[in-house]
Amino acid sequence: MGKKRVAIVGTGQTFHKSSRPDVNGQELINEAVQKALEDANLTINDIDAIVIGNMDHFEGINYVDCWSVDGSGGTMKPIFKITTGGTTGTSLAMGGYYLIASGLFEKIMIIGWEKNSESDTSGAIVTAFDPVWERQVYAGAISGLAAEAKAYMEKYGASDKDGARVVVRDRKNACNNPHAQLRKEVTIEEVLNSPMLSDPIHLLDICPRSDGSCAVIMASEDVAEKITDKLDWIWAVSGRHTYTFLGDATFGHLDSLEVISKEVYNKVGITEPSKQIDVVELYQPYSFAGIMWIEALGITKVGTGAEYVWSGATDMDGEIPFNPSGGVIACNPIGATGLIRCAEIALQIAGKAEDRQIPDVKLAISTGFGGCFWSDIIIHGKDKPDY
Amino acid sequence: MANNSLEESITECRNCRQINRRITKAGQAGSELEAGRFALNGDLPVNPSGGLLSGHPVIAAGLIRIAEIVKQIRGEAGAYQVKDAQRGIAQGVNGRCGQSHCVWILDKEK
Repeated sequence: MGKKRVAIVGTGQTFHKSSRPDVNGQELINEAVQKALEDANLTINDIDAIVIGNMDHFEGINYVDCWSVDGSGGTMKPIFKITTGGTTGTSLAMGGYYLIASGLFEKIMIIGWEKNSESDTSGAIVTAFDPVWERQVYAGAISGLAAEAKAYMEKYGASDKDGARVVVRDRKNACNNPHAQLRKEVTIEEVLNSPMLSDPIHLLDICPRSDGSCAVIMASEDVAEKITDKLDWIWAVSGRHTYTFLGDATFGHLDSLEVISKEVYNKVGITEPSKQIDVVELYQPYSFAGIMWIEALGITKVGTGAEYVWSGATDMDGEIPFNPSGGVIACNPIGATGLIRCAEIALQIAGKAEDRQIPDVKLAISTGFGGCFWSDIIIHGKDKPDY
Repeated sequence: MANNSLEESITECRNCRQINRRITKAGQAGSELEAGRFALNGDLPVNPSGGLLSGHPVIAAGLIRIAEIVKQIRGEAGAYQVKDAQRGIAQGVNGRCGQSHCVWILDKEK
């Protein structure tokens, strides 16, 4: 365990849109930073360090840590850039956590952001794939996910209707979230009739591209309780990367998420996650992940994901609600997305989630996911952990 | 760390065409350099490894500075070993106008 326990004392995020031509990147970042400071009732002078990231190269920026100081307020502060693909947002949260848990920093501003409207998403993602073996046939965000979904469907008999049920849930939830980009319900038929992108993924099965930013302020136990009484304590974090050649990946089961969830459950004493966890914000970039990855989380047995979702167990009034915010399918400013999962859980724990509040949240999970099937997980708790 | 020439035994500077002014008084670096103060057998050896002017893998360069100080402190620097190296500084910089700096101090003692 770390030297100090760490809590989230404030969060801020923009109202995410498909395009924000009214602001440049630094201004977008600054919106979230100002909101987080207001939420925590702190000023930028109270912040010891900045942890910031977005997707590498998306906006054509290399030194985001230096480039962003006017927006982040990081002038003459230490700044750490963390960018890890899709998991960037949760890696940022983990980075901030580790810095404070080390005992060397007290209050950290964590910022994730993306101005997708100014990015060539596929062009940038393609550079992560091997130019000889993969780039020509396999590159991009969707192809790997389609292969994963197909493999699962072949093995367990799931159908694209099962994916669509997940979309219906999340798009309905998003209507309660003023920050979400897509705030209109959809039906199963609408999902299945939307254009096919890469079998079995239809247009409505997959996340949009959004402009948005999110800021989370974490503080050491030495000061957190003096800052606010609405704390979200970080109980455990973990992350794992996995194979870079897609031919080596396990399609149909998210190994990295299984390994890290077992690790953190073990650390904090969770034996029945579906009963002991109150809410989950799953980094779910497309519908079928909502069927498959809940198995990796140990919520339900392998092969039963679809059945579990159809039972209503993951709906707002179910046994373990997923994505009260509407999740990634309703909103995806990629560099921020993982951090938004973390911030949304912080709001749930602190009782600040407004119309999307789940009652009595004591223990909750946020996750991150990245391209080559790597994962992050964070366990949040209302009570201060006793270790 | 001002006027630290008596304490710091070695320094590895990144992009250090000009000696960090905390090691010497403003305007004096040039003459001290010529007088051999920063040479391998000088008072305060700078870049015994040859530094960036001798080779510059950009993003690795800062970490290499740290590794070079570690070698010195361990006595594993071979032909460019600074005698009795006890403590060293490694420094990195980013930006055309040096907007960002990072400094490490490493010591033989815990």
